[in-house]
Amino acid sequence: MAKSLEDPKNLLDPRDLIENCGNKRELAHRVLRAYLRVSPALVSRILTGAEASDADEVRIGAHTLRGSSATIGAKALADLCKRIESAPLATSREELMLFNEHFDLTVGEIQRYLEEPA
Amino acid sequence: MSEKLRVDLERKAGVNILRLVGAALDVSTAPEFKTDCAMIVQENPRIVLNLQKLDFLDSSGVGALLSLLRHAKTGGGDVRICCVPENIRALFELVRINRLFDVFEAEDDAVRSF
Repeated sequence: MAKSLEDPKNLLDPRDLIENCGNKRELAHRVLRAYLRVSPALVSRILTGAEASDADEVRIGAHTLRGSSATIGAKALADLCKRIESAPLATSREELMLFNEHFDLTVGEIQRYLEEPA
Repeated sequence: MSEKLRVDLERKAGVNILRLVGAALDVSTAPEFKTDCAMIVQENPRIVLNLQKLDFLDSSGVGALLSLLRHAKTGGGDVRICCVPENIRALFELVRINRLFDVFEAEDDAVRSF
């Protein structure tokens, strides 16, 4: 794992998202809630695709998750997705497990952010 | 197992039937589920996983199922899934879980498939 992934600040930095939402915090929250709904299925798609040695499935899942993660400011996760996307079947099970754990940490950080008082 | 998930084990016709009961197989319950399953698989790697009373499954849960499948296959067995609730079925279809697991409507059919 790259060092940057261990830094909690890199889990989520929604400043660009808020700016892109016209500084409307509620709109940014809606985007984040949509991310929470959709992204677990993408991670599952990557994991099952890798297990089935289906490079296209892994690539598509990683590509989609990379884009949405970058949009919300989950840059470290987006970087991980980029790595998986570039070599879909070269990612080891251990790396995929770490990727999954990192995703869970990111989700936790999003939930914490959404619960913050305005 | 935690309050969110209980695993009821029944041995039948040389198969370990695991019935998952509870709110979620997710990031909070998956690690303990994996540990418990590793022991069960060691004893007998022929597993039927009944999901009828499971409410939610996330990516960590899917990871736990894959881990269980690997352990079972390493031990010369397999994992068959049955009684998948509607909400989990949607996820399974999306990730095409049937490429990896045989999925059955009824528990008896899953047991008989071994």
